[in-house]
Amino acid sequence: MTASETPPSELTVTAETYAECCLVSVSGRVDHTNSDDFLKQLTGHAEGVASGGGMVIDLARLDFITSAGLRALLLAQRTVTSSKGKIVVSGVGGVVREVFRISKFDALLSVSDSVSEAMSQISAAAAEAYSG
Amino acid sequence: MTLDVTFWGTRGSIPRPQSGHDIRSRIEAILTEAGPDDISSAEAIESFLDGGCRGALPTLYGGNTACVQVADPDGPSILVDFGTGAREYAAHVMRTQGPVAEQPYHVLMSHFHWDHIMGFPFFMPAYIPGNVIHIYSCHDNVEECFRRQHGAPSFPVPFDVLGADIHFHIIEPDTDLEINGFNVRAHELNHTGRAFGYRIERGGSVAVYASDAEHKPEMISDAYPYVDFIRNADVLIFDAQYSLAEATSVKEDWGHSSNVVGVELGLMGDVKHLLFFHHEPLNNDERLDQIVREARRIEEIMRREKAPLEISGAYDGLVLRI
Repeated sequence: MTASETPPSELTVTAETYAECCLVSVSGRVDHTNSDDFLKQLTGHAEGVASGGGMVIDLARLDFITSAGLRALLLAQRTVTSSKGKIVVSGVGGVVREVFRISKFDALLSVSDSVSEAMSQISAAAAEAYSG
Repeated sequence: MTLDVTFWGTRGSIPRPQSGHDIRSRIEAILTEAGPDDISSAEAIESFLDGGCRGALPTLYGGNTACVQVADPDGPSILVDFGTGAREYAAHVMRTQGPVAEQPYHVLMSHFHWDHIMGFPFFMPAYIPGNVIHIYSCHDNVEECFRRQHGAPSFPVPFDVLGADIHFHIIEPDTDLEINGFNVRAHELNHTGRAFGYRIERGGSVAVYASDAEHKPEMISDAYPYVDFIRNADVLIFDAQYSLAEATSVKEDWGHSSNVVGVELGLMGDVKHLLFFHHEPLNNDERLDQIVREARRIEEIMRREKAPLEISGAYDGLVLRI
């Protein structure tokens, strides 16, 4: 009666640094097959944010996200804000935007349309480093 | 074989009577939709009302707390939980069979939070000699919980005064049992005070009552035992009291789940029909309809190669044939 284990969906998480801000870009799908890996990678980057620093998580190339993926974003937010940092999620569009709206996560997370706008919310230095 | 699943109470936490504002909203919706032809005669009004006022009204969810009946239309019946809906169920049985039921009552208890037990002191068959009531629970203090609710100063009539022949049965979870002609399997759910869901089968039809459960997102995987518990169910009665954001933040560890998680689990378990239940008492009918509509959209997004999952909101008085 038990279903066989589903192979993990494709997911790529990359990180770059602009001034004191860590830009994490996510592409592919986050679902129950890879959400543990997503959480681990995101937590690692969040813990690396210096006190008072910032983090932007760009979801522009994310196709899909489940409840476990949303929770990972929330935990990253808690980690960064607990060290007095700022965190903004950008590029929430299409299906992912619908999931944010229906789950009410758009009220829990700080959301921005673009990476440059998100960087501006983090700091002028981060925005300048990103645009430059 | 078919089974009828009747929802006598669907609200969570506390009964939720209709307010004057609720009733006024419905009257306004009807008057806004009705044209001169709809009210031109008694027959026209009847037709307009029977047609649901052309969709102008939201579903009327009702306000009684958890009580669900699973019945073979030509045979035995089993009840789950003694929320305030049990009072309506008792009235129905007494209207159709008289004060002494033709068969014993068989009732499965999920747990003993108020909303799941508060209907019992108003369950009239319990007062009438000749009735037989079998109560099943995985909690070994089941009898104490029922007696305590009848004790002073909470209630004026002591349990010992009840005239019915009442039997308590402590059952084992994750074990197939035969109860009144149904195959019943209890399964523990993540809920404060330990709640148990019930997989109820007869003649190949499967109803799963799994209210009062907090499925944390990190629990959801192919290895989550709950997925096997609900697998291929014709109906899954699911606690979707909160939004996902509430359930993972301010109301984390309050013991309830969301429509989004319901869809995820329903698809993983290849469930046919997902029914939201244990409705938040703060939510009005419009909001509950919205929760169902949004879940249907989430299902479209998540389904991929899976068979479609039907989604509805359970309401007081709904009879679902499976």
